Amino acid sequence: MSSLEDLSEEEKRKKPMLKKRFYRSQSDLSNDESSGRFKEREFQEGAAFLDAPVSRRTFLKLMGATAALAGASGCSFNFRKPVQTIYPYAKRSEYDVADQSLYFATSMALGEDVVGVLAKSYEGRPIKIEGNPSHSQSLGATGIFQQSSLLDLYDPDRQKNVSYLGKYRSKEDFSAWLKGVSTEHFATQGEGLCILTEAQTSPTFYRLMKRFQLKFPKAKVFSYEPINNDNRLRGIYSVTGRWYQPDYFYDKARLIVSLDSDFLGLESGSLLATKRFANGRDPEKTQNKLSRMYVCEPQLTVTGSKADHRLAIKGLRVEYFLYVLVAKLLDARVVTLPSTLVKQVRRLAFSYEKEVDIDFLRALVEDILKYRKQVLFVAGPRQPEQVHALLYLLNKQLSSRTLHRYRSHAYQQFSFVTESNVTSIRNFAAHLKTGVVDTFLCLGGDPVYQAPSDVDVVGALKFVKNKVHVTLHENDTSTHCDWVVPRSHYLESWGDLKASDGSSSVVQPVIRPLYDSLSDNECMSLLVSSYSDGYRLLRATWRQFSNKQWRSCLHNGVLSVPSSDEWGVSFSDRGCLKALSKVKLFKRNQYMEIGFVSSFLYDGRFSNNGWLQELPDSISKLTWDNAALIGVETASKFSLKSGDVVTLRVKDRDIDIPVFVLPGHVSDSITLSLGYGRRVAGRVGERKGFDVYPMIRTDDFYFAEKATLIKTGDVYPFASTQEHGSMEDRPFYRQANLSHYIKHPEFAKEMVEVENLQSLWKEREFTDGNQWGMVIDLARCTGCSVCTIACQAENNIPIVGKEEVLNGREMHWIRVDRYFEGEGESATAVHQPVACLHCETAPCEQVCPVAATVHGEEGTNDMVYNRCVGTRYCADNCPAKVRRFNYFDYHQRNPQAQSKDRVHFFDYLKEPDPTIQLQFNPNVTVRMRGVMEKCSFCIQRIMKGKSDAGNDQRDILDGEVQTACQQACPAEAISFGNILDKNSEVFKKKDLHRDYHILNELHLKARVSYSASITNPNSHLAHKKESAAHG
Amino acid sequence: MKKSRQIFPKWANHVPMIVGLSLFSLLSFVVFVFWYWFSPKHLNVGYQPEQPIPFSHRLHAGELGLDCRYCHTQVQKAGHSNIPATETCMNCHSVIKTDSPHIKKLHESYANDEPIPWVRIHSLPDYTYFNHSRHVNSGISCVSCHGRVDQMEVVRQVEPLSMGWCLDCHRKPEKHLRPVEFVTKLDWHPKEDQLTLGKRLKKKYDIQPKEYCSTCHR
Amino acid sequence: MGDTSVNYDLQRHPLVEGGPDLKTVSDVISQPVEVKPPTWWLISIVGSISILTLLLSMVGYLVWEGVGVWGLNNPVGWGFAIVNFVFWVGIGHAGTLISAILFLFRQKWRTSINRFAEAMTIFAVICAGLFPGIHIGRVWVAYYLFPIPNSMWLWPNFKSPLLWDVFAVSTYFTVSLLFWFVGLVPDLAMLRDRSTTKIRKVLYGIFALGWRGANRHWQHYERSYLLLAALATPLVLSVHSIVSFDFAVSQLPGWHTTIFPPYFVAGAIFSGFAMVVTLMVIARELFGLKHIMTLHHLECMNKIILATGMMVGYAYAMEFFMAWYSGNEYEAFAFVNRAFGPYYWAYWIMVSCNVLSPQFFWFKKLRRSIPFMFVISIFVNIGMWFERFVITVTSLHRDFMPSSWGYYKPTFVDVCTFIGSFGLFFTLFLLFLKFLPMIAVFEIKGVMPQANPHAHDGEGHVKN
Repeated sequence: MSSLEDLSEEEKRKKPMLKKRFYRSQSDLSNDESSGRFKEREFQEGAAFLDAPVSRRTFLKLMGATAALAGASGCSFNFRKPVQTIYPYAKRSEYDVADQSLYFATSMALGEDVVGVLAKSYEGRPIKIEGNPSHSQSLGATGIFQQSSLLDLYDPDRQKNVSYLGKYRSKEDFSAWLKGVSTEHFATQGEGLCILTEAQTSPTFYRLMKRFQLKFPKAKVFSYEPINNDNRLRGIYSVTGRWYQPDYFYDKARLIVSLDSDFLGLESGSLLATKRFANGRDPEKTQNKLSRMYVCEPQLTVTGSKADHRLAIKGLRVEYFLYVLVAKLLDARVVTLPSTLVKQVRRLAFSYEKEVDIDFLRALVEDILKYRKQVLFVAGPRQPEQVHALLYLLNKQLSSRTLHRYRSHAYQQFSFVTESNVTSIRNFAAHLKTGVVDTFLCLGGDPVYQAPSDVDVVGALKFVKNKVHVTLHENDTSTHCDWVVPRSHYLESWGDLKASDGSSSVVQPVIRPLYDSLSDNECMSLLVSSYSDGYRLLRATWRQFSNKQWRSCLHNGVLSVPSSDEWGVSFSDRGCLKALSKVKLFKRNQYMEIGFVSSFLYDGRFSNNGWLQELPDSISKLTWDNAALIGVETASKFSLKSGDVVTLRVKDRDIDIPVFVLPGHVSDSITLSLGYGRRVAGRVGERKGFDVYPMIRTDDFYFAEKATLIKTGDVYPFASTQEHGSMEDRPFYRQANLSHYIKHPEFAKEMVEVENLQSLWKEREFTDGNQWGMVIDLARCTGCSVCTIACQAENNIPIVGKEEVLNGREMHWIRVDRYFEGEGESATAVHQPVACLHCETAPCEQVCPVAATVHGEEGTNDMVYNRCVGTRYCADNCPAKVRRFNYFDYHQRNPQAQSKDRVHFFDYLKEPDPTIQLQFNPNVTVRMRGVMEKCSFCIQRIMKGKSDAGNDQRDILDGEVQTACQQACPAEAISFGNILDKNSEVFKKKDLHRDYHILNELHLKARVSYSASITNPNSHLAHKKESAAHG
Repeated sequence: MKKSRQIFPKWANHVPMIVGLSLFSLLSFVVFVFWYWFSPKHLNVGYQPEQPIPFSHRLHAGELGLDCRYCHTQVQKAGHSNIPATETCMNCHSVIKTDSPHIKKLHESYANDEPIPWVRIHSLPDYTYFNHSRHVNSGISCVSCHGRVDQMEVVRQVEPLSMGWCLDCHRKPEKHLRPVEFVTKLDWHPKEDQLTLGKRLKKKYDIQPKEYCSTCHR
Repeated sequence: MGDTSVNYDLQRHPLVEGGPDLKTVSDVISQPVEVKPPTWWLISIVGSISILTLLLSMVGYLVWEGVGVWGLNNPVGWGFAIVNFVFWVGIGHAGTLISAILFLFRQKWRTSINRFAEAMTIFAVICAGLFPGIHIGRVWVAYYLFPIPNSMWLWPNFKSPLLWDVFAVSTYFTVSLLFWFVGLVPDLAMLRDRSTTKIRKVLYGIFALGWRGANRHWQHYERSYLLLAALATPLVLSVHSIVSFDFAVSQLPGWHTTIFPPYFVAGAIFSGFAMVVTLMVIARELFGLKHIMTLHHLECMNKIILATGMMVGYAYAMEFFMAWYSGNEYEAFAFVNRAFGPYYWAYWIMVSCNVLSPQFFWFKKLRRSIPFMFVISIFVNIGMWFERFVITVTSLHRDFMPSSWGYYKPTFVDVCTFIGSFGLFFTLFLLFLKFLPMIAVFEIKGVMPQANPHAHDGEGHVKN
């Protein structure tokens, strides 16, 4: 498009923002050049649309400027060559090397979960999130939430400016107002002042909070997170009298017993857990001393799917199972409990004894005896306190100190930390209803949407005069507040975070705040004193560091190491006894139970995040929706099919929601996932799925019983990315149990007999240079799906929306195939990531009429977008069906795309929102409609590695080039590198006995191979299972 | 009778042949139009836009003999050869020719920290990724692609920068290779025959130009 | 010798019934060209043009929005477009086959139908050619498919069957067109000479290329026609073999089959003849050409339909046999899935239409019953379309990895485009009926007894 040249002099004068626009330009690849490319070129450059960092003001002006220039471009369309302008710096900035990315260490909090990350910054814009290897909770890995948080930063639907009763206000107005509030409340010691916050783990925040409570002793502070670990914390407290946070070492355990815990899935700390668990299940790392895992859970989770023995059991019966187990262990004299507890446990155990699956229990007890001191018990956050209390006692006696640690909670002196979230939100509403509160400050969160249905937040808010909501997005709560203040994203604010292991990490901005936003700390500073920016607040907290130390802290992103662990000293049975005595005896019943779980949208805060909305659920493979998950038995009992809408009713609350039938789900039980069906969220997330919060009550917060289910007769379409769950006895996912593997190490290769295949013509040899290859270790992979998101972020992969997923046109380059094993509630699942196999004799290359997909010298199967005419023949001929076709221009069809001026007839009417373009990876072409695309082995990273190595005349080191999926994977299941290099990790992997290729019989000579999964079941139980299956 | 049956004059006999031939030549002409007139060679070579400040490469690089890398500092580090910051100009022009109106523009830009909108001359499609450092560090001189910039009062594009043109060099690098230390000496000429030198350097620097697609397209 | 009854028995069925004289033949055949178009023609041309407009609008919509307007998805990358392409190419076989091969075999009965059939061929191939053009994702770079010198120094991938298609179909079209046109020249001259108005004279004159019916003309004509026939014959076989390579050369179970080339050619002839019958039955009714396009002709064609139908049936059976015999689980599954999978209906429509319905032609009575053969020919066309659907879609929707199995549902755009292609076909065909002699007059005359120097023997019998 045009340049300043094309604007007449007075136009220039009329548009000072044009000059302003390039203020602080980090880039000499100019903005309007790239947007010009949007216009004239058939392929848009990945990024470089706006220069960054930009303040909100500049940003809004930029929008204006863009429009203005776009207008000007019409007349300046140059047939020979569109005039493009280059804007170098006036004054160069530090470390600036064009097109070389910089990494900044920062960290992200999600509830109480803290993960250190590295933000990749290209010319001032964060374009990718990677794990921070030096952070204890990441160790280089990231989860889906860290990866996709980037999209939240650039979300054009974010709250952009301070508004009062819907009218625009400046940040200064708000600061002034809040200042006033704090002064006038100073007199009354904070009477009538009330704060509701999300879970906070920032030392600085607590420093400010302490000052706040000193200044306003009468002020009330509450905290609410719908997804939390209260039960675990309080359970352990009940027997130790200390606020301990447990830290489990799954890699060192030989036997893991998980009671309704999805520690590999969406629970906090899952990254570290996954890494440790995978290490414990790695036949090579452990010299075939694999850990064995028993899982008791109502709905199939990724944890359940990795179990050697899984017991489908209703969530409310899990504790009874535990009582029986404990009773058995007491009988076996491997554990001892205070007699008071023993009595209670036996009482409860007796009532349930007849219900338990005897074989399962016997095998479990047998293994516990076998692996004494190496057993690890873990229970999910939904299980009641007494369960966690008992597990604490069991772990104490049945496992050694190397297996689990306890670190005291950092902030136990704050009442709103130690009181449970449920109590807190209940008290909060009650407190507001008393009417004493005149000013209410809500830091993040969305209580109106997320509170239990019996807590009437809306009603409570009516009693308050001034309501302030500091939030990233406008949501239900902000519509009920009069002040709505944009909250800074963690990638644009200073701060610090304390992880559950007590280690603190720094939060540093990678871009100037895009909008006129405030961080929580800055808000607090306004209340306790006068405004000071996040950096000053942070530095004040960590005064002890000299500037030199401070710089290294910023570099590593770590402020302090994990706090020393305590081996739970004191012990009191009182709390536990109280809880146990409250537990009713088990009565046999057919009640329908409802369990609530977190989802890929977490508690709903990510509902406007297209990547997460479209990420297929690990088990159900559902996108853009949640559902009432029910088991096969329940489905047949009520004659329901997936998609049938039902009315769920518990006591007085009911919702209409479609069911989704899922093997492995226990019968007479329904699982509802939180976070969907938001009324106010943004263009992507609004009214997607179904809001299930109405079913939650403070008294049945995790499970609700006695639910009724009535079929309405309506049918709802579900967009699942995998309709067919059976492997049809085709050996794609290969696994064997340990004993069989030891007897037949080559079993995976032997599963398919491939005679010596010959090609008709002389095959191409790949004998020198770097020959790239990949191995995916199925023994390690848990199916968490972070690879899919990481790939999406790295390669500018668009979201397509529910309609298009229904049409079977999702674009993910790496998908995680899920196959079910077994029937009914005892079924389990296996997960297999599949991306392009990069076959040396690739069927796709053969058939492309224009040679748009051809083989590189280094064994990569290259896809050349600008040559592709889109016959789709390659996709038809691809046996793994990994090729993705742009049936439409999905970047233009994104709900957040905005209209633009057209330069020529075939030019687009829309383009991605400029803020979203900031996220695009400039080293990956953005594909237009009508072209094929697929996994490229992150060719841009390979090329970067090659050029770096080339420039300092050396070979590429092993591990220097990492693919996006590999880098993100918490299980370290993916290895990638040069298969000719005998010392490379990938070579060693390919050298394993359990290495195999899928579809080998087609003579594909694929570069991607798999390591067969090895399970470690209890021999008796496994044998029983088999005989049952056969007879 | 017979006369009346002639509806066409005699020359009409040749019409079919003529039509056939002209159709054929028309077709080949159309192909030619696309192949030549729509080619970068024809469209882009000689592109010479006016710059906001009439900076003379002839003066600076030629007569004053500044090294290319004095301004284009990152050409050996980055894929992208940077346009110098105003700062760089100011190194000298804070004192030299300070009264010239153009230099005043410079001062303005430096003072207000506003970039100078240079007009881009050499541009590749967005789906093409060219890496300067790789070429400069392997003994491909600036002159091979940009021509004798040191003789240009106003810089213009001298090479087509078309894919075919790239491939030509990637297939026969010896035609352009020179000792790395001379890459920025635009007037450098080999003592010996270029091809023999090129062949020798190709071995010495272990130059293996790639021709597969992902070398430039990602 | 002498026993006339024997002689009588040996007599062939006359190719032109009722023994008209040469002039009448010219009159009858030229008549539709020369008189005002009848009402039914006007009505049908309006109808077909409106359907053609539907096609054009659908194509426009497609190019504007993208291939996504069709029902295609990830496993099923090819749908209606390719099905229609193969379907039309198939239909475009009968013409050249009838003209060229039957001509080389001196099958005199071809004379009254070849022109007609050739025209149908040309138009069918035009319809076919449309689809590969529009089914690609980026129509505006379709020229990448042709070996045009360019500044990228790139050639198309000559290993790809799709490229072979481009050449095969275009060659076939060119040759068929020439063949047809050469055959037309003498008749065009006739029309020129018969025409009364100046404008007609000139127009027909231009295309008659100054044909005077001189001896030299006839000599050249005969030679060139023979050469073209010889040239066209291998093409008839090659085109559909190559079209079949699109599938056979790929490695998808259900596509990767060596039987495809002969099987496709047989199928093509099968469908082609069916289409000819359909059209002829109508035409001969409407233009009163019963005595030239005789029942005898139709019966001959029905015999061929029966024969090719059984070849196709054999191919179906053999596919299953090979699937089982090869012991390849994917192959076996693909065929079981055809017959009993989600698309079973398509498969059984195909079988009943293509294999069962022609069996009726074993009976002479049915073979010679106009309404019956009309119905059957329609069935065959339906069946052959479904054959292509079965091959294309059912093989794709469930291939190797169960995880990416899917289901293909055509959208209204798919359907309208298909219907629209008939609009194109019939528009062209009606124009042909109106402006060109639908039967090769001079050839008809050639097979009439009068053309035989020894036409009249002593007994006044007319020998053939």
